[in-house]
Amino acid sequence: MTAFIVRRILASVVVLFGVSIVVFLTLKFIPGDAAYVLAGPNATAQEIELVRQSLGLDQPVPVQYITWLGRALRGDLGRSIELHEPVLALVLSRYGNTLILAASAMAFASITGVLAGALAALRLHTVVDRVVMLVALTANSTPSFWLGLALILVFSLGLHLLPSSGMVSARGDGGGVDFLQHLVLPSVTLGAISAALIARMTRSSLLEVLTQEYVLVARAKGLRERLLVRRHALKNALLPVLTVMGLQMGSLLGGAVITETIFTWPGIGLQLYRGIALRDVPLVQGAALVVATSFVAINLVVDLLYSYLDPRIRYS
Amino acid sequence: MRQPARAREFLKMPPMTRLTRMNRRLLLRMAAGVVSTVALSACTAPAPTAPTSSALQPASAPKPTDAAAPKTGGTLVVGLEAEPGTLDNSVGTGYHTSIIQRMVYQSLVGYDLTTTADVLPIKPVLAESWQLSPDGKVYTFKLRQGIKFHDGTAFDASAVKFNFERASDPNHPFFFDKGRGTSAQIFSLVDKMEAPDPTTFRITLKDPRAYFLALFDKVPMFVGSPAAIQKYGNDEFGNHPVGTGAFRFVSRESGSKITVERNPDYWGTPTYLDKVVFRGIAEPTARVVALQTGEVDFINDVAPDQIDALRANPDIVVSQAAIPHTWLINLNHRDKPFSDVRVRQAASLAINRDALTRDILKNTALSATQLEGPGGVAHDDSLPGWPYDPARAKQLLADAGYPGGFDTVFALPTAGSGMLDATRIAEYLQKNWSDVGIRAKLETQEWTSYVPYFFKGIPSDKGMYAMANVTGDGQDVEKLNAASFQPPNGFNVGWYQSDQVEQLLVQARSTADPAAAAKIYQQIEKLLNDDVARIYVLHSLQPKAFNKKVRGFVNPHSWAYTFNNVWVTT
Repeated sequence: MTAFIVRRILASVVVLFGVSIVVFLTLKFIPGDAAYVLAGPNATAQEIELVRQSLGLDQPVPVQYITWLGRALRGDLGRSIELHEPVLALVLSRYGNTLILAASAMAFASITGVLAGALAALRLHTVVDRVVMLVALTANSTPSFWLGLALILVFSLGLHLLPSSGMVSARGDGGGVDFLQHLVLPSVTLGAISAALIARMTRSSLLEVLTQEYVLVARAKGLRERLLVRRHALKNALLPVLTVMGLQMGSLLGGAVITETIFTWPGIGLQLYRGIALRDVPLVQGAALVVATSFVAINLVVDLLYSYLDPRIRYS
Repeated sequence: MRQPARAREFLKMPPMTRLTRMNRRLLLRMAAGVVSTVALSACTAPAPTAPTSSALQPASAPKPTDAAAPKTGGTLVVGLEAEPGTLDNSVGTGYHTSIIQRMVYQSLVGYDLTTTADVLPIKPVLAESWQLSPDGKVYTFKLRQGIKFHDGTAFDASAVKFNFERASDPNHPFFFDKGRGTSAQIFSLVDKMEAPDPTTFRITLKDPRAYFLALFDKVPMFVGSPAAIQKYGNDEFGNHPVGTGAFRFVSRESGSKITVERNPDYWGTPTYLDKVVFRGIAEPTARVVALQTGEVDFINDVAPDQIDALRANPDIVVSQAAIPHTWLINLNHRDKPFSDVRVRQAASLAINRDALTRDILKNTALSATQLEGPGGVAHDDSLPGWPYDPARAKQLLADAGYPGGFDTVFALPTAGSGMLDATRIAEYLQKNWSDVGIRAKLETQEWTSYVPYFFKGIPSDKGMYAMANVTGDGQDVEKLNAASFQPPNGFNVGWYQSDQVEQLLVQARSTADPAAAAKIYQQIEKLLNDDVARIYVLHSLQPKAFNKKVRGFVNPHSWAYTFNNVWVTT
């Protein structure tokens, strides 16, 4: 087992190197650089060249990468070109905001998805089933951009129930309730597609389970339906759904950029988008590295968890 | 029991029957798609009725019936068009950031942003007066006495020298090279700077420049507290900006908001507002919604699509003002077909600017007549510009040897500084041109990719490059038209050259008197217009919108604006 973990960690380091190189080269191959952005709209070519020198962008590309790598290995990810804030702190705080949003979206998706899917399975082929599946289909097909704006128009503009942008109110001093209010609409927007997927998976998984022989046996023994579903059927049905939820978490993190843009949620997606548009190389490199590290770490933890949960799985 | 039997039944069904059920699902899927498409198009339906002509007049003061006296106190929340960059006074990272910098820092002299005069006067700020030597090279500023920075340290000539050298001299201990781009434009003109005594500051230029004082309004010329710069260092001063302005910096929550508050020890007229909070909301629809829900009180840069909804809202005031902005097209003067002046004239005559500004831009812009927009020193209101005359355009094309028209390439960025919704505008132009036979292929690129491409100049196989001119200080006339500013040195990407214009440019540059220089620039504008050096399309009116509780806001003929005179009713 230890050998397995060590091997995995070594492999992860290689992956992270690869990510940093690929991201760096991609940024360098897109035309334009941060010098144009910093120098401003009225700068002449000489002024832009001056800025390029001060940013170190006039060096050959491999030299630029090595310089970055040298500092990164010492823990210094540099400063954002636009905000002039240290990249590591900036990325961690923004990533934290995205994780909060993704976790909240996942919670929304899981709860509504499982409830809806179970309901549909238990009321198979009735109106309830069809309505639930239709809503799920619609949610699955709706682009998050449209859904977000629609929710804003209804709940912010129309009903004045929830705020339309930001993580906390610009006006007041924030606080828990204010924050939770700001979390609702973005979570629903981000989680909608996942909710739909989880609903459909739960429905079909529960249907499979309900045809198993042990369910028949439990019924023959006189177990009440509700107890049967809760204690036996649902739990077993949820195993494959959990796998889907895990995969969904990854896509939630990736898809957050659109939701963050609409709601001005200060997450890593929005920051990365801006960073790429402005060619903020330190920021994009740092963000890619942090995100890749977290993915690699989560994957390792999940694999270890599987082994722990299912004794039949053992790594060597 | 019902459910499990049905489930078992379903799963036991032969594949063909399951497929039939699948087709029903397919039908449902299609229906859902249709429903959401219909709903989506309903959401983007055109806004209510067109605005009246009063929308064109800049709303400079609150409505005449408002007799409320200014009251002190309250907080103003502003939605900016993007997250601000660093607040360091020697780095200019965008107009939206400079709005905040302008409130915290001040310069020696600056534009009076509280007036709606056609050309903003330059008024004394930290300097109470100045003198220009007869040869036009030496500016001697007499500084105000008794001014303190927000940290209590004294403002004097050595502080000014510290800041200017920080921005321009690589040997200065706190030289901040990040601001080099913008500061080089200014300090490359300077020969030396002296602070002979605490209230006198002297700048000697290498050559006279009529527009030099106007450059003091740019960010690198703002003065920050040397004590604070030394205390926080270049890395952190941007997070603790200390200036002499009417507002002082309170806090910044990165990605969320920036707060400034009234400076109680301000040397000038204290402001009415207690606090101003800035938030960057990049998504245009979200910015408008935030205004309508009351989450913000003031927004800048309203997109044409949303302006009608705001104009129709009785709680919102929409304010527009002509500013020195021109959306223009650079033409390839080196190669055919645009090397022929008749072709250039035809391309300009083919454009229906009035319809463009009215229908596509919903009256948030004016038809452009010249290089500098209203408010610029070279702007001449009497210049008529080119009218819409497609018949004459076709005739000119035939005269030039293109009776069947010709094909060309029009390169543009999708967005960018002053570019508005460039793709939309370009598509409209494309239609105008195709009506007279000019078949323009659009080549779009993202802004940061477009800029280096733009600076290489128009190659022989392309005809037109879009850009925006966002200055009005006269220096731009030179940068776009002088032969020395041809690529790779600058903005004259169309390889324009005219001996007459060159002579006048040299003359204007060396004239010390701004008024005389302005006259020469206007002469140049006329020549450029007759020669169709480039095609001017529109001048943006930079619409702002705010809650009616915001009073006293003056929308000047400038990119910059201030909240120093603003108060809020409850």
